[in-house]
Amino acid sequence: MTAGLLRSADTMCARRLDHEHRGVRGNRRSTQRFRVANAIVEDARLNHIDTREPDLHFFAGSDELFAEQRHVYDNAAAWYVALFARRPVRSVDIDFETEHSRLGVRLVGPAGLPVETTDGARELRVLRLGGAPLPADPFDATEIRFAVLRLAEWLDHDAVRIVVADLARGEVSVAEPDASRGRDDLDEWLAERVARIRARIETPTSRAGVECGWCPFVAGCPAHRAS
Amino acid sequence: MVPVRGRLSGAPSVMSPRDTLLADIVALSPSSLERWNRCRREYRSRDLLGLPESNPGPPADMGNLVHSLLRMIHEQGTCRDDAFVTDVLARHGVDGVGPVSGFIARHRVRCPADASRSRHELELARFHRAPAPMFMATGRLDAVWIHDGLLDVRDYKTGGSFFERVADDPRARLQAWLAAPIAARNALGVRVRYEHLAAEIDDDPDPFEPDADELDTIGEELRMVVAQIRAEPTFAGAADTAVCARCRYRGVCPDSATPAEPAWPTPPDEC
Repeated sequence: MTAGLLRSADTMCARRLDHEHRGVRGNRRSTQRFRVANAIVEDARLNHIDTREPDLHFFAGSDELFAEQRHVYDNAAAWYVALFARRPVRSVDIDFETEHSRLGVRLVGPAGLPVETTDGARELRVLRLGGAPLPADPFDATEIRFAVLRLAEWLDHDAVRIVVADLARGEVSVAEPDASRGRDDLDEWLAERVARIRARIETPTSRAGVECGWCPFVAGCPAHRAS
Repeated sequence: MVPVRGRLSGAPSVMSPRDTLLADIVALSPSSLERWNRCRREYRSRDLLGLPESNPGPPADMGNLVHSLLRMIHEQGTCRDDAFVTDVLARHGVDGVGPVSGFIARHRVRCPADASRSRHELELARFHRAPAPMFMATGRLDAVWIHDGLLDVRDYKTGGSFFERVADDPRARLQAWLAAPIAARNALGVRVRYEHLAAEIDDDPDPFEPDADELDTIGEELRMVVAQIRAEPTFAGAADTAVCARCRYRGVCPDSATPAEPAWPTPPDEC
């Protein structure tokens, strides 16, 4: 289960949902859309390999960015340094997947940037580049719920802070969840999402629509057989 | 030296940024096609790179509201029922004499009275498989009516008018091609009509009613566009004052004829 599948469980074409869920290999997608966001997260992670404040020197970016991507990257890097200034932290390595044995699923994919402060407090940073406005409550966003579930063991700690930052607009939303925002609520939410996906892929009927524009499985799709 | 005979299955490949710009199947929509025709660089920034706009245009709130109201009015009743229309507008905080009600009133005189069926905000997708290159055309049609042997596609316009004939607008040609299979299945002809609902525009452009040959021609036009996209070496900007002055990426475009500072927020200097 990826964050994308959980987010689109109700709306994605059932055939595509089924193919994505099973990891079916489709036509090649463009990867450029995620290039700037991935570069920012990776460079921030490198910045904090040792306990350090953010420093623009670590945000060199790639020579292979297009000029427009470079502008977006530089502005995002400047916002990262400004928004997280004077907070020396160390990045924490995490596995690429988390097994959820009770539901029989693996949660797979990026889970933000987990960091620790010098006094041991734990912080999950989720970095965005524009798009939808930041939720007033970070837990309203699927990506946050997913990241918290991915890092549940690591986040099971006295002092936890969750920061969602939009590095295109320079906005942040911060939550310091207490015991009432417990694991049970998130587990319940995940169970509902997983059940929904499983129900929909039982009959993976294809549906033609705007979504087909970025579906990698259209070449063999019954909805386009007559084409 | 060991001769290299191929790549091991599963081994990572090294691809240049140019190689990873395009998916195997290029997607075309009326908006992306318009951007491609206007400026290769804008098309790349928006449709291939998905970058946030450096200089956003005015919000489309009014247009979105009118589209949404027209959909609701026709899904729940009819635009000819004055009391019902007034009620729908009131439920959305719109009074009966403002500009929004003017848009609705100007639609009413264009609305097909004798339509047997209609759909609003209809999503369509049509896949072109062969001859190469493959592509996927998609679009969301504002309204589709069936009447007089026609599948009548309506595109509500709340802004300016730029074409005297709908047939001259590549976006409309794509819409006709998208709607053609549905029309054919129902033994209907295709018509695309623009409804210019702004008070300052007197006449709609001539509707477009392509026959089977013209629809084939459109398919070939779209295929050629996709071939051009796949072959495009540089994605150079249009560097045209009229185009660049309205471009939403002019703040980050090195080819802009009207360079500007990006309008996005920047951190304060003391940071």
